[in-house]
Amino acid sequence: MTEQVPRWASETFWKKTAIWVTGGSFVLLVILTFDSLSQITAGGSRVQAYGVINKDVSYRFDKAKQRYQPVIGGNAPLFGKTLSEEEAEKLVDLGKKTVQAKNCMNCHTLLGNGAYYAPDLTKAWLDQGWIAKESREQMMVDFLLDPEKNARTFGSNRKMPNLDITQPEAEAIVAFLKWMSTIDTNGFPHNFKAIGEEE
Amino acid sequence: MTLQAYQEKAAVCWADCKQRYAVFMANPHLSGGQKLAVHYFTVAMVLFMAQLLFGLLAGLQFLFPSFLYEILDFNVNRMVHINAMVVWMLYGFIGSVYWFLEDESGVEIVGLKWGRLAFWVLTGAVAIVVLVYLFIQFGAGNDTSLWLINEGREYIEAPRWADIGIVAVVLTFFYNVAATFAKGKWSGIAGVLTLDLVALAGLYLAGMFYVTNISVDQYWWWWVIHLWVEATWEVLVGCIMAWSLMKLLGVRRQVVQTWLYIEVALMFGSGILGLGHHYFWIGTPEYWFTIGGFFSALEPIPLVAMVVHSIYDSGVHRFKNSNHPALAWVIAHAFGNFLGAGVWGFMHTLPQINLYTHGTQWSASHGHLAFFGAYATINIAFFYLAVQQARGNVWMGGDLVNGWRWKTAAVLLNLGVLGMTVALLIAGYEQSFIERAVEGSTWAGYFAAQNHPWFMQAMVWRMVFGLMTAAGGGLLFWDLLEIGKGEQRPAAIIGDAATAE
Amino acid sequence: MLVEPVALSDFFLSFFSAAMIILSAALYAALYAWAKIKTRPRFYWGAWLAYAALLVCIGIFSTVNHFTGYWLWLSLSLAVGYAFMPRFIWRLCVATHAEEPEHSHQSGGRHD
Repeated sequence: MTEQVPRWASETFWKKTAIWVTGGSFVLLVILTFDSLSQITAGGSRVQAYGVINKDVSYRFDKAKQRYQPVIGGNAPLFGKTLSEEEAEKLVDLGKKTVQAKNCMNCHTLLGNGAYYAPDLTKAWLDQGWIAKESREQMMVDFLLDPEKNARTFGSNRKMPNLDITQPEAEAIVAFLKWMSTIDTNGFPHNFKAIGEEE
Repeated sequence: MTLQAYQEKAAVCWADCKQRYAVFMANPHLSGGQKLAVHYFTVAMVLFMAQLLFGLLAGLQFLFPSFLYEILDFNVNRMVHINAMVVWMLYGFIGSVYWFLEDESGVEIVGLKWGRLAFWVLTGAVAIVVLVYLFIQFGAGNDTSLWLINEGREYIEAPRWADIGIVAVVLTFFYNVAATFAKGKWSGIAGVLTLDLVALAGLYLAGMFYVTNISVDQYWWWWVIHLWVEATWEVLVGCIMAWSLMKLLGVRRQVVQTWLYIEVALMFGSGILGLGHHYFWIGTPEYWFTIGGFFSALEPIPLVAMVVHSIYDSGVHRFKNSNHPALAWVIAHAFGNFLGAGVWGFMHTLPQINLYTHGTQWSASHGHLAFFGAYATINIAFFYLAVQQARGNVWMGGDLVNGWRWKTAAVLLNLGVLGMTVALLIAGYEQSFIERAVEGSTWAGYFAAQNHPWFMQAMVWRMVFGLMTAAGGGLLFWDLLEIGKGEQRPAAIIGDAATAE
Repeated sequence: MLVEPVALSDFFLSFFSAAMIILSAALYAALYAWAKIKTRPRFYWGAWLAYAALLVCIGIFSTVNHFTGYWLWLSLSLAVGYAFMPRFIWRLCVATHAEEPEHSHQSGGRHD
């Protein structure tokens, strides 16, 4: 019982190390958080202002960046109405709130996070399953209002349940999905062929 | 039977429960804090059963999509499945801390009656939240729904009123812990534990507000999920393990505390910035590729360190111990944590491959083994320590009466979870191939992968192993109620006065 | 793009080599510790063999994940980190347990 514990293996040494490592990592995380949040504020280059729902949106391979990238095009107002930035934000907000209140995330993934029972919604607005750009908005709203009757099961028998979504909520969800599809997600999902991008 | 007969039957049941409860509260082998801990453990086990049940229902829906359609839809079952998991883990941790608080501080718990009240408040709140999940399920797209029904954010779906309640209860728990240590001895474990609880409660606040911007939403959401699961929970379990190792294997305090600090340095050093691996695809800048990639590669280091240390310890202590079931679960923890968090985590963590695995059954595979290996096992080990003490510190070594029960339960649970993990791995592998790489993640691609025979068969096997897990869970519950009853032999004595300061 | 994704044909190699990195690192660490505790040099051979396997896995992993530029530092830190870390942890084990009382067989011979 006489041997001394060397300093580098002592309790105090590791106590100090633990404090410094934890503190250092946390300070670094806070600094990175400030930077990241400034870059993902709506209206920046990575996350678009809500008014983007007035524009045409697509998703294409960017040769310079070597990855897929959202592309914002000309005017293409949602449901034929051009909205101000405030109106657009209000609409997207209602959509986001509805997505949360209906617990979409426990079947679907959003930006790849959530559950795996139903398809990812990140680029749902751009999916070729909506057949043509002209009919897309109406198809989406109809589907949300009565998912059982307008079921799109792709041979899986998995049907979305009726979640008592109202007309304004359905339109807002579509606005939210359109806005979400414009987020620069660093090339996720890869190889996704958007509606209207068929060769 | 008439209504009156039912009423009489209920009255008899109630009287019986009250009487059993009175017997338990008079148990001379347990301190006040330990009795409260047993309350927490009991609810934890009930929630564990709920987790298994709703996991089975959700799993069945993959096989039979019309099963319970528009009655208990997948999203409800899945939400209860993962919420029950989170809450039973927390109940286990809180209970474990109450269990050793008096032993560690050397004084009685300060404000125990507030702790007791907090337990009943929390349990009542959990019950209400689950009933609302099951019977109301969802609301209109407004704040009222988020406040009263469901916040709709995976893992932290609890409505806002419950969030506030949870914070209040955690603060009461924190008060019990900090005030008791302040009055008694401040050990190294006490210091780490107290600071970790501050972080745990503080991080929860990051998940308690609504924002429209989903990138910002998920940024903070991961603060709660990742920094709980891959940082503060790990350290909390480290504290519980540290105390248990002193009791179970008779390791000296100074050694245990030094290693606790080493673990904190390694866990927080890799885990805090390891958060970056969740920031690849949610709109956040590209530098997270590098940070997330590098720190994720560091995250297995503590686990490999554990391999060296456990071999060192097995050579030195030769696993002499007084509680065989608990030690078996600690060993299951070592393997499960290493495979689930280490191997399964590293396989799909770098952005180069995560681009294809993100949001597939890969995550489910990793999640099942990692949560079980890292946390469920430790809680179960602690439940066995608690039962031993509650029965009067009786023998729990070899040749236990009905020893087959704990062994069978352990085998079924471990094999079951491992089997589910492998099945989900195959499903995830197929999904990343067909849906992600070939079909480019369209909806048609998603369903092409879901309808593929590999995926369908994997889901059948997941169900088979899920049933095995559930059988093991049921057996475990039964065993915890029965083990050590009627045992007369005292527990083996390990490591003499080794735990003294 | 800062990263070049794994090619479809390399998926299996990527998953498998990643798993094998962690497993062979653990095997190396375990054999190393075992050799120390049993003082049997032939386990060292096993440990070095496991480490050689680890290096091969890191090589495959780095290739299929298209590591170039600073990503190669990750390969290097895996190779160096996993080589020295078990040794460091071992020394830490010995040093922290230096005052181990009677009942351990290690101290039995050394501190009496």
